[in-house]
Amino acid sequence: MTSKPSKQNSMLKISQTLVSFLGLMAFCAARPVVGADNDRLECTPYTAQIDVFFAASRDLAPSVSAQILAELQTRLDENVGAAWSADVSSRNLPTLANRSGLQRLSPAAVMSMEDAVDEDMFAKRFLVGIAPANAGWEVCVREWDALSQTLGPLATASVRDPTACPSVVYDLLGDVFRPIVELGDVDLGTRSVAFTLKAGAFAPVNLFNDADADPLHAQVHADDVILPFIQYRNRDGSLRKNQFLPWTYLVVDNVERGRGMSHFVSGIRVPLGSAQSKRVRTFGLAVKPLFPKSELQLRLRRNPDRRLAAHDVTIATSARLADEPETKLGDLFTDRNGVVEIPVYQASQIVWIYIKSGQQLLAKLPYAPGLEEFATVDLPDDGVRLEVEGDIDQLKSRLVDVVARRAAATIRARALAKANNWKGVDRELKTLKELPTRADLQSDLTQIRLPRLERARKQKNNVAVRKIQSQCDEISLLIDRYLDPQKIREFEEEIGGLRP
Amino acid sequence: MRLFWLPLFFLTFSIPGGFLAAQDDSPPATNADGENEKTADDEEDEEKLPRYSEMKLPTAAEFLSESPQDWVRLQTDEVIVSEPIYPRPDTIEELKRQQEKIKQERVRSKEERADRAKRLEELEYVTIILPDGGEDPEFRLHPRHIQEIIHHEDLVLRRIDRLIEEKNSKDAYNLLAHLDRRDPNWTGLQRRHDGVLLLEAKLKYEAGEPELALVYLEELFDRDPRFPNLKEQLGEATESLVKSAVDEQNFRKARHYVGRLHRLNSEHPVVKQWEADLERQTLEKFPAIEEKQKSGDFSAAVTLAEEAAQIWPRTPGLPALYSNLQSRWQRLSVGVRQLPGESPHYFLPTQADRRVNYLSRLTLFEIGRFQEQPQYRTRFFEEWEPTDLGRRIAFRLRPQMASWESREAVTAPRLADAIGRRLNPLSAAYDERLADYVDSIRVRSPLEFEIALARVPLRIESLFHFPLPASSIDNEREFIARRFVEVERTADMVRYQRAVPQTDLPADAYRLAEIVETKYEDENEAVRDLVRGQLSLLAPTRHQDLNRLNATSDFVVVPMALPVTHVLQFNPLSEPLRRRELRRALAYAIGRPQILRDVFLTGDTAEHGRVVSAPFPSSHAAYNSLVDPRTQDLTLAVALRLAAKKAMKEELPKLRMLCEPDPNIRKAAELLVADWKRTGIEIELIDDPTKPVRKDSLDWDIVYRTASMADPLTELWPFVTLDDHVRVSSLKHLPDWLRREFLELDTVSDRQTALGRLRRMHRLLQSEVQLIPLWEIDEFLTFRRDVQGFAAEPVTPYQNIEQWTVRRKLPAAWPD
Repeated sequence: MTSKPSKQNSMLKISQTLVSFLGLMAFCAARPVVGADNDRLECTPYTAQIDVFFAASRDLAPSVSAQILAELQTRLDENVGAAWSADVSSRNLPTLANRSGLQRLSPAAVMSMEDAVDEDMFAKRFLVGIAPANAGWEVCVREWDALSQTLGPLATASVRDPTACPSVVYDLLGDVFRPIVELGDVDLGTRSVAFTLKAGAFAPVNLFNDADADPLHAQVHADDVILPFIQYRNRDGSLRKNQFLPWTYLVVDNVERGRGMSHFVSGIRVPLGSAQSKRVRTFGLAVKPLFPKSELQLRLRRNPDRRLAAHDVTIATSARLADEPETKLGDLFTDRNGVVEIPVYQASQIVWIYIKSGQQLLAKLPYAPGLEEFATVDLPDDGVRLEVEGDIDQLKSRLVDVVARRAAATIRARALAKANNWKGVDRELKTLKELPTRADLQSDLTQIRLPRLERARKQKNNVAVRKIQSQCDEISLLIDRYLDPQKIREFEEEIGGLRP
Repeated sequence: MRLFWLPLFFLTFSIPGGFLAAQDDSPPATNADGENEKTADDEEDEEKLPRYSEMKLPTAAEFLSESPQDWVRLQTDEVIVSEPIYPRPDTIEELKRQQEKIKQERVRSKEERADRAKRLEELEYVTIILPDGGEDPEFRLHPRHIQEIIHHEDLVLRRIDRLIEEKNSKDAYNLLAHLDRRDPNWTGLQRRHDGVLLLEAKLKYEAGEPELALVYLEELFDRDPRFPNLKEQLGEATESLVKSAVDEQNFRKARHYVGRLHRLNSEHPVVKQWEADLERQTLEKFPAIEEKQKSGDFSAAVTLAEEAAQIWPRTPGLPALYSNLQSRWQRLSVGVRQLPGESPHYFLPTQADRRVNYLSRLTLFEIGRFQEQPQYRTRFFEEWEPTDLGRRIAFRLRPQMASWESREAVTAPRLADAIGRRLNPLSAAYDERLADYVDSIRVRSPLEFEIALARVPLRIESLFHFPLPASSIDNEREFIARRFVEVERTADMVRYQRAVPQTDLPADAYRLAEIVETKYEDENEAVRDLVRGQLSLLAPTRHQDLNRLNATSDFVVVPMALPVTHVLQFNPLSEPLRRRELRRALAYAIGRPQILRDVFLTGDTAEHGRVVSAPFPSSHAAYNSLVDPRTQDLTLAVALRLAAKKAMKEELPKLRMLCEPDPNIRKAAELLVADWKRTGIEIELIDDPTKPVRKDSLDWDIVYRTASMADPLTELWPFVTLDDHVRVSSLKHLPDWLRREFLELDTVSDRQTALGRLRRMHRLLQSEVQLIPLWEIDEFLTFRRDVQGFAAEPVTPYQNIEQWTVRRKLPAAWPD
């Protein structure tokens, strides 16, 4: 008994050594990756490119454009210090100068731009559009994160005078900036996750608690939300894919000199904590709510074109531990497109969303509203089960009617028997016999159960099958309990005994 | 008196033969008898027969209370009071006539001769029966001794004469009635009757009741047109009545009184005088009418012409003027029970609101007919062609409007813009259902536009069965296409005119221009005005009036295509009514057939109403005939109430019910409340009509409403959710499975499935008791014959009203 494990252990050690060796070989062969060393990440400044797109306008003279660029560069140099290495330049792409152009921009389009291929070159790229709008100027900014290869949300502002653009652009850069973190140790019990903040070592300690601090400088604060993603790389160090963890968020607890702790909130069982390697690492983007609300669309998983209208959605605060109480924040109702609007709650950046269908809870998900304008939730089809719920409701009503009628008839019959009105007693007994019996209601239940079970099985919806069975079994028990024919027989015997 | 008569009997009549002989030679019987009497009985010497001049005529009360008596005035001027003497009247003459008749009879045998002699002998005497005359009160008196017999009837007539002199018509009438019962043919009775009528007329006139006086005088005229003073009295009474009516400007009434006199005596000076006076007043209106006509204010001109016609329709020149104006500016007078918008405290549309909605908005497609299901038509489109398997519809507008249409012209861009407003979530006219169907709208040309649909609807027409919302620049109007607009409103009248008046058309091309709805609290008065011609349409008409109105050729009674369904609905916010047990208790507690019969179906109109189980018509193809209406079961209702109470863990609060403002509905609601009270459910009716009740408040728990739902496929959802539009958010208070049923019903795309789903919905709603359908009542409209063009079975009262013509005739000169 004892030798076997030791043998297994020795085998395991050999294989681990082999894997380590192979890993080392691969590491040596591969190009160095960004932030490969955690110690370096918090000391690594952000390299950023700020591309400014000016709309073709007679009101925007080249001298003004040049002045804007220069002022922006100066402002950056003066404010961000050693944490950033940012270059401001102008690009001649007027289509990206306005809101719609930047909104339509896709990651592929950004990656196809020159200088955007190599993630080492720029960790962040800010796309700034300046275009005339409504007797003024509209400034739009969007962030491209080279590590996750994602575009952030669009932030906009209006100015009357184009010379005011640099300060506005600088503020917007802070709004759209998504700091990069790398996740470390995970404690599933307390749900805490250690993380390292890129260029975090450059920020003074007290900035963490200063809510008004420059976002480009302070990066994160307590209760900020981080969207985690797993980065998979190939042997040659090239990026294979980034996988964002669905319905999973980290909430920052504290940060000190680029190292911090957070806790995770997730709708999936074990989202984090799997072993990391040099080719599989977990990063995160700290995000801020840019929108006052988010639209969440409920769809059928099997048929995304079908939206789940008229569903109840309950919003509650997010509790860190299982025994912490949740507070209900609101009851929402999906519209015809299956959409609910979830506002940003001051009480909690992350909320729990309960989606119900009748008595059934379809999903329980965490959500950080305001991070995106629109999101979708794919849910299982609960139609067949809901139909059964409706029909069982009807059957319950019938059962209540029958029981009430039966009770009333027995009370009347007893009273009539006491008054020696045997004609009346016979009438009531006849009424009793004419009432639907247990067999009648059970037969109705079978008619509800069988076709729906068949449909659910055809749809391969095992959850629905299980629920239908349980709902039908429940009502079946009630029918058996309340419509026991033995009670009627006993009552008839009782009356027979009283009869002269 | 009694003592005085007794000896007379014995002495004079005990031996009739002797008396007869003595009578032949002796002085007047009474004297002789009196002497004999004195001889026989000195004690009664002082008692004599009263003299005629001493007789006191009984009073009216005595005549009425005592048994009738006749006076026999003897030759001696004394009077014997007798019980009624027969034969009568003219007793003596009649006896003689009978004698003569018997004498002329041929006798053949000895027995016959003896019999004739005996009968002749009997006729020789007048038989007198003394009142209270003891055992043998009867005696005979030869007519020779009788100066006259004054019968009871004549005595009564004498009393009546005195009463007339005393102006005591009441007693006089009583005596007339008394006499009439005894012998209606008594000579002099009719004359006294006439006299009493004249007296009564005078008294009524003097008492300030000339109309009653006129009635008496008319009766007197029928009896005796030449009765003294009748003509003068008639003139006096009529004059007073006509003057008073003219002072009130009630010329119809004035003509009525003049007409009554005219019927009696067309040459009466009062008639002539008033004819001239009324004609003069009518002619005075002519310049104003012509002025209004010239200025194009036809409505005012017609009003003046109608006023003129009311004064004296036979005024020369008026018929032509009236006819021209009536054909140019046709006005429909409608009698209604309720005006639209007069019940702001009731948050749902009333029957009046629904009636007038047809006028104030023109829907793209509207229901033209209803036979088991609605059939749509449109005023706007020449054709609407589905392409791309129904996912695209090309609408082509009619290039021209008919001359009778009352809407503004619209172009494809304007229509597309209006439809776009229904698709805009920020617009008040947002239509969630339409927005879900429509992908895009493309205007092809001024008369064509195309709509791309996200999915294929069951019927294009029902999807586009809505009015077109106006834009904010459209003069603050709600809809861009309207038939009629409200131009005037008073407490009991609303006037509507065409949204676009007809101008410059040939005389026969003009159609109805104006509608005047008049509210009647008293439906009898409405029927009276319809009969008098003051109304051209009675909407709706009571069931009990149908037979009467149908029986005359002046009216056309048409049934409405849709019955009015009465329904109880619950406030989704009401906590107690979220309990299905309580809703079921309410449903089982009410005796619907009885209330329906007692309140809505009076007389033999039982076929015009029925208890139903759905809020849509029982004649609709989607009505599930397997779903029976709940029958009253008080025991079950009590049991369910107790179950609800147990589930709530507290006493049921007193619930509040809001009713559609209508007297009959109110009456029915009171009976419903009484039924609920019997099962221990306390409900009070919301009474204060001045305090508005908001739909989204807890001010009410149950609402009693009516509906005429032609297309439950599109109308059931907003009806059940008490909403104006189809909105998913309004389903929130329903169970999830019922929400799903509504959503699936809304997206159904073939008729059979739609009918199946509706029938299932009918069953589910009945079982879930989301509402309690009570009964449906058939509605009828009554038109005067002067209205033409209305539908034989209209879906709404004013269906096709732009095409109606009204040719009102001049009122009768002498109205009834």
